[in-house]
Amino acid sequence: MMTQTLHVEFETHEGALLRLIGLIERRGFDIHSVDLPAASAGRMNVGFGVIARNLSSDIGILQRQIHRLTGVCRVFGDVDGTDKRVGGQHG
Amino acid sequence: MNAIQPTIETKAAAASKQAPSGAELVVSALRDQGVEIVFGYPGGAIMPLYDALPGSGLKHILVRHEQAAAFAADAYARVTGKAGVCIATSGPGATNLLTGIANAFMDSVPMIAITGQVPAGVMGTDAFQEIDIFGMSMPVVKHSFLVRRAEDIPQIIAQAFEIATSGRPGPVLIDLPKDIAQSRVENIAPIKPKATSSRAPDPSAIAEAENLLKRSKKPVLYIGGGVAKARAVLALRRFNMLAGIPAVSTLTGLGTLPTGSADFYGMLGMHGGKAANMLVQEADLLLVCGARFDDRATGKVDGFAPNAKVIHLDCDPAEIGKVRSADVAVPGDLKAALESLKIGILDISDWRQHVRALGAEHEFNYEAPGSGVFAPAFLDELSRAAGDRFVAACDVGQHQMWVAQHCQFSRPEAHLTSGGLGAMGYGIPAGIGAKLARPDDCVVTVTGDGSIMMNIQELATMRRYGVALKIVLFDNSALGLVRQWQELFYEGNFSEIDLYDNPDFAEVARSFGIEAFTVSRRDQTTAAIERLLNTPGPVLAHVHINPRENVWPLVPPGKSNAEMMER
Ligand SMILES: Cc1ncc(C[n+]2csc(CCOP(=O)(O)OP(=O)(O)O)c2C)c(N)n1
Ligand SMILES: [Mg+2]
Repeated sequence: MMTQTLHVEFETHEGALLRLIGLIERRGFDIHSVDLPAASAGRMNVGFGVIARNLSSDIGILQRQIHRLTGVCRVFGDVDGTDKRVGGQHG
Repeated sequence: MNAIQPTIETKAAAASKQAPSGAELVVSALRDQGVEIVFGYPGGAIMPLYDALPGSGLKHILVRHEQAAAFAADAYARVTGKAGVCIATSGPGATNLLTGIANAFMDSVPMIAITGQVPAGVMGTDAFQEIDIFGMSMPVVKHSFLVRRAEDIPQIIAQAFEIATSGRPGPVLIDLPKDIAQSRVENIAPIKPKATSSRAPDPSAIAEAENLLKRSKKPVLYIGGGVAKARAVLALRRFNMLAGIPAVSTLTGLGTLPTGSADFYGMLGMHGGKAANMLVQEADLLLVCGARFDDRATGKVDGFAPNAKVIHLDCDPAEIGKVRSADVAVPGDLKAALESLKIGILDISDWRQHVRALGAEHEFNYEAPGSGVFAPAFLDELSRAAGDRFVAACDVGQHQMWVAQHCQFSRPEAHLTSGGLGAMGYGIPAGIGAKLARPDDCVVTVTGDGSIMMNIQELATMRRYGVALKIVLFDNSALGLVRQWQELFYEGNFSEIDLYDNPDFAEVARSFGIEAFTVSRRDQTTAAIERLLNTPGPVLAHVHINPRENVWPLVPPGKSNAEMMER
């Protein structure tokens, strides 16, 4: 199956990265690569190469699930980009 | 010979002379949030917080197992709409809370769980009772905090309440190392309020929804637990008073429209009513409000409402399209969305007449052979006798499904059930939490002989605080729901479901100091209900029922809702 890229910009609170990785794996995606630049000003912008474990796993839904995590500022990727500023209700 | 008089000082007075401790900051931050009752159980790492409780103005309910603290806080939150608070020590205390936290997560219930942790300096050394509850709980919390500096406590607690109660509610864990709780804080970090905006519905989506509704010949209103969470119950009732769309509800949406109200056809899904499932299958449009297409509601998704378009209203955009794609998506404030939907009078009188006939044809029959108690009839009579103040707190099993099918609910808070997690053991602690929150309501825990044993120790909590909870224990000497599945889907190969050696539950209750009586014949039903409702204090009715009774109707697992099995 195809690798898709997800970029997540988030505040570097304790556990934030673990929370992200856990969510991606639990919601039906294998993590194939991680692009992890150093944090700056309390924020980090991570790129995940992900592969859906089955055809029904929708990366658009995954983006919105990541999006609703506290401390996530922006999620965008190959597929329909979602931006916290225009996206769903925070919280 | 004057003895020296010791100066007796309260903790609070003593503390007022010096900078507050982390634990005192926790207590005052909880008070600032309007917390009155907390549920918990002490232990080593959380002792500083327990040291700060006496005289704090917080009422602490000492449960007898941490799981019960979480369940009680969950029910407290469900009936009040405020976040429930539970407290446990590190290690086993924290792991015991987990099931209750997961329960709140699955049903989107606002909760604050505070756990003690070993001192920060020894974290990571496998210290005594050190467990990484922050890591363990991650998949079942909305958010979590590990307190690293005592001065952050007021900010963390304010944020935790904000996160737990806003948007789609959920549990928030705060892990508090012992040394931080004990340390004195000179400079408290100021609380920075975060503005949370609820998103107004998109006018073009509303217009599209209105269009679909006006064109629909067979619309169905599909109600989930999210309507009550969004405080949109009145908005929904008003909307449908005018629209008159035939409505069904999920397990957690029951009570949003009162049972028996015009246009309401009850619960859909695995143990839903036949009429409810049939009308959803026939629908050409589903107006889905605050529901997530749970598999217990939809049955086999491919066969679910095959001819229906979907309008999906939910505060959580991640739920829209997750299971069933939406033709019109309306993420955001559910109340505002319902208030802005204007559809006038729909031309659906043929459809309404048809579903009314379906409803009449498939009404439940309360006749049953034999002279034993028939639980569905018992529950129907009980909830009618209890009236509008009735609140049912269920355990999990056949009895839980009978409650959903046969009780009258006047409001969503009248039905407390472990929906998403389906956790046996919820019933008694939930009943305690609800009764403490709403002392004037008639709170009844409906439990089974399997479930009650999961938190039976909480009879001691009822006794200690005089919680006037009524317990109806349906005893079928079995793990009935599992037995039913083994009978129907595992060729009657009954495996490990027989509870032939149950204790005499009435005696057990009495030994806890709870009044109790036993019922075994159907003709005792009315007298038993009167006794339950007229006993001022806590009381348990141990009701023997036919071990072979099943829950009907039923959609077999993996089948479409069109394929219901009936008695
Ligand atoms: C904690 C937990 N363990 C196991 C189950 C699986 N389970 C679901 S219903 C049930 C039987 C419940 O028995 P009882 O409380 O007597 O209710 P009944 O079905 O007999 O009314 C079991 C074991 C569960 N839901 N929760
Ligand atoms: Mg049983």
